[in-house]
Amino acid sequence: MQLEDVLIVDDSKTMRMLVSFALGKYWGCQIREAANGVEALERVSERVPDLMVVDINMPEMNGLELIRTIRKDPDKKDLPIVVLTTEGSDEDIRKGMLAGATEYLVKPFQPQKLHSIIDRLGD
Amino acid sequence: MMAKKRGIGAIDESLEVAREEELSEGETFQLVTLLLAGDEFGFHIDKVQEIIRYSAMRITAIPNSPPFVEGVINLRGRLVPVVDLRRRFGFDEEDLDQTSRIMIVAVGGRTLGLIVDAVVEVVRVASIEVEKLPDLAAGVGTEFVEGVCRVSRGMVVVLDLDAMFSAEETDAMGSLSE
Amino acid sequence: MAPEEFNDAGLVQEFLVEADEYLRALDDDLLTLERVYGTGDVPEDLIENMFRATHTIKGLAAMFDFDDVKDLSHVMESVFQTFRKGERAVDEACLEVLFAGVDALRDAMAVVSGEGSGESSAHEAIDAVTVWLEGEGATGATGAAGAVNAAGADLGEYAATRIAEAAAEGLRAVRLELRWGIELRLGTLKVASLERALGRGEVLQIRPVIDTLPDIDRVDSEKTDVTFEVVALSDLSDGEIGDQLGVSASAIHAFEMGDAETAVCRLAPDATAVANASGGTQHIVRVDIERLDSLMDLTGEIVTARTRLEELLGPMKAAHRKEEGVQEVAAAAKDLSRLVDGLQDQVMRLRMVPVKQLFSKFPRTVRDLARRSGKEIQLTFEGEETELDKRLIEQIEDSLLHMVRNACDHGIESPEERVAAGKPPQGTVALAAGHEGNHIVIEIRDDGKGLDVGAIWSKAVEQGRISEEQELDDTLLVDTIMNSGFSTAETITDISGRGVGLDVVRKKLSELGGTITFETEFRAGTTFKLRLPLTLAIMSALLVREADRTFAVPIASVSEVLRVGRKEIRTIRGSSVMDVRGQALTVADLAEVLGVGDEASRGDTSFVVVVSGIGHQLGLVVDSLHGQQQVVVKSLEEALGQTDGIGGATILGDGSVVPIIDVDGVVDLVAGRSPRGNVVGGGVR
Repeated sequence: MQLEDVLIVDDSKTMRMLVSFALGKYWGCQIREAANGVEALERVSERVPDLMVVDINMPEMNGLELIRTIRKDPDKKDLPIVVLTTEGSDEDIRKGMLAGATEYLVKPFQPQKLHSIIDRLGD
Repeated sequence: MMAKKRGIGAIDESLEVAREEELSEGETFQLVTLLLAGDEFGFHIDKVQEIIRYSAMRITAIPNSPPFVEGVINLRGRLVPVVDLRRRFGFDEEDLDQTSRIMIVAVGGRTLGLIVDAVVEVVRVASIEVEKLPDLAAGVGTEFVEGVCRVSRGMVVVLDLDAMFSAEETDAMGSLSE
Repeated sequence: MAPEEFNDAGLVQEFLVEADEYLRALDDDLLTLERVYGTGDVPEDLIENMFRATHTIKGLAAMFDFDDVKDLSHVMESVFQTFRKGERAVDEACLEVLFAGVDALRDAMAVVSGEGSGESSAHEAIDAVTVWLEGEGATGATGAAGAVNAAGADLGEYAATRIAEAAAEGLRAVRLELRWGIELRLGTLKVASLERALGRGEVLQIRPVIDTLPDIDRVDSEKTDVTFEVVALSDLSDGEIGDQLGVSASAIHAFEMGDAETAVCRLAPDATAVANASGGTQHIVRVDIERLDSLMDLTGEIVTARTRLEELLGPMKAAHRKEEGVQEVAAAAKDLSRLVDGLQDQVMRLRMVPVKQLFSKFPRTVRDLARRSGKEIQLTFEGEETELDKRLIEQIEDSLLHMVRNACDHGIESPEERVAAGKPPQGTVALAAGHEGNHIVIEIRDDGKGLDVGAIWSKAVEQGRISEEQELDDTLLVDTIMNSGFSTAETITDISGRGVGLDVVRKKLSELGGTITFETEFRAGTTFKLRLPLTLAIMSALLVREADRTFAVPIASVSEVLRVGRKEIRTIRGSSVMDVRGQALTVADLAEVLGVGDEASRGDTSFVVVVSGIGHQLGLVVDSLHGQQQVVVKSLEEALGQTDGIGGATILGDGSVVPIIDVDGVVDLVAGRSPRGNVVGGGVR
């Protein structure tokens, strides 16, 4: 998959770094970050990323709302979005997918898992 | 005298049939014979698992593997090392052709593939004599030879696979290359 | 299991900083809570913030495998969760445990960052919080339990939320017990048909009623009947549902809720269904190791097949993208892919067990040995939660036992000798386990008398094993000690004692693809180090092409991949180096390292795969990259013995065999050391 620009949305800086780490190794892509849904929307309006990784629990606007808002835009209905869910929370998965996420990734995760998902997304 | 070279199917069949037969008539031995640099050699049949066409296999060389190991082949999902017997015995190398075969043998708990010029037949012999050993090529150590036996075509040198591929031998192979 | 790259100091530091901020906020918020909880005037987001703080810490700790932190923050999160849902009210007792919890979290993080010492107080704190959570403060428990059948409905969050929303939607909650025949082969429950029977409703959760599960040896491989408890929403009456399902209405129960405030039914303490805090059931089934092996093999084949499928689909999708048929196949392949990932995860997890299982067998042995010999010996463990393949544990048990015995018999001295040597009378034998690259490393350390290498060297020379000019390097030392010939010929009993049986151990390890090395300091102690491959038979690999051959590099060892031009590689004092972000990185042609192929048939641009071996980084120069994929690792040990620089091989989807690079071996080769004691350069084509 052509990954040039990835947007990671999570209120935890450490988690953003972890995802970035997991991504940055081979994909040589640019990584942008946002700490909540509102910031994320701003980033998206500046430039539409090739992939978004979105956490659910965030202040201001949580991940579910963010995903729903993005999907309202018909231009962005195919934008790949991976929602981060918590281990043991099937509801997260269900809610995330219902909100419009393309794939889900359960925390804690191994980088390979993320790569596997990206491979799948790469149509 | 040219030994007949049979097709793979026939040999496989012979192997199958041979295995099913009981060794009922006193002490006889069943061998699979093969050609190597013009001489005919034999292995005990219980050591030979199958025979495949050399040209049908892709041998992948593995760096830093023991000498005389050409590489490994993918045998239905298993990795089997392949040894070129010509090289092992120090015979001249010749191009491997359509008649060349890889004999899959079970030796000392391991599975190996041995490249030979051709596989001749499965034969039953009454005895294997250990005294009158003919002159063998330099590379074929006498410790590898179990004995000789007679077939209609002439003599077959019966090899002791266990001796050839014992652990010490493998080490010695290493020192030989230095 | 956290991948190594996450243990990067920078990331851990980041975590500690962030977690510290959360903890500070938690402290403040708790103080506020303490002030206002009695007044009933609790600011709305106070609980929310505290919940999120512990939730985030939990998630991050899980990424790094900081279990104490994770577990403690998890139970604290549960406390805030109960407040959020209004299940319980804040009271003095819980504030106590929460404050203690925050302190314990700090403590646990200090341990992580290396500043704290020994064990953290996390476990006590976890216990204290758990006690509060399960206490009789749980409102509505008795009320709800009364309404709920004794089989117990332990509701997940989603189910509970939906039930609360149900009335507003004109739905009611029902509980059914249904007996289903499961086709075990397919494992499908006919949820779809059940949902149809519910009208506008939905199935919220399904759990088997444990008592009705048949014994494992009475399970028919084709079909078996199990009773399930289903919690669902429906707008239909019991009778209507019953008709649809073909069951009598009496199998359907209205699901009563207690007070309006109680959103969740707590499990009555004497309920027959066994459930732990996360709602799951701990049920232990013994599985034959051979079944696990077959399962592993099968999973390996499935992974390969999946890769092949993806390979084949690739060009098809590109060329026939628009065709509906192709799109459907692609979508189905995606689903399959997701399932395979899941399967692989599960199977991997089945086989990996903490090495603690193995270690825990030894304290008794040590105690007995110590008693018998009149010595004082303490056995300690490190890294006992390190996981390895179950099969492997069985295989090395004897070896490890032997080495522990060895350390006690011939390593640790008597208390008198120790005191005379200025050491404490009690000796310590430590078993430490950890992961290093693709291997698991187990160390057996003792602070005993060590080995006099000088004396050994003299003996070796005397015996003609080595010439006088030769130094006794590590590998030769190991050989000498472990050679049974040496030990029987000698009267140096401590050495011979140490040596006995070690050659058996080494052989065993070699069979498993592992190695044994040791370090010793005369009078100070000896450390034996066992290194074994993690038989994670499936791993992610980067395929590279070099000298017209394909090789696989374990992704776990790859730090990054760079594209370079010829000119960027310079030679300094015989080694090739290149500049990477201001640092010099040693590079080497993969072909040269492995001794294959011709010189310099390289284009202007190459790729450098930066790999990390034990403590060293190395850039491997290769011709081209061929993508990343999951591969099934097949050992070459049995076939070829030790192959320097190569650690097994894999069979790709097209049947071709690809050798896998042993990163540590390659690093050794480049450094001029012979990996695993072999003489470098044994006949390569």
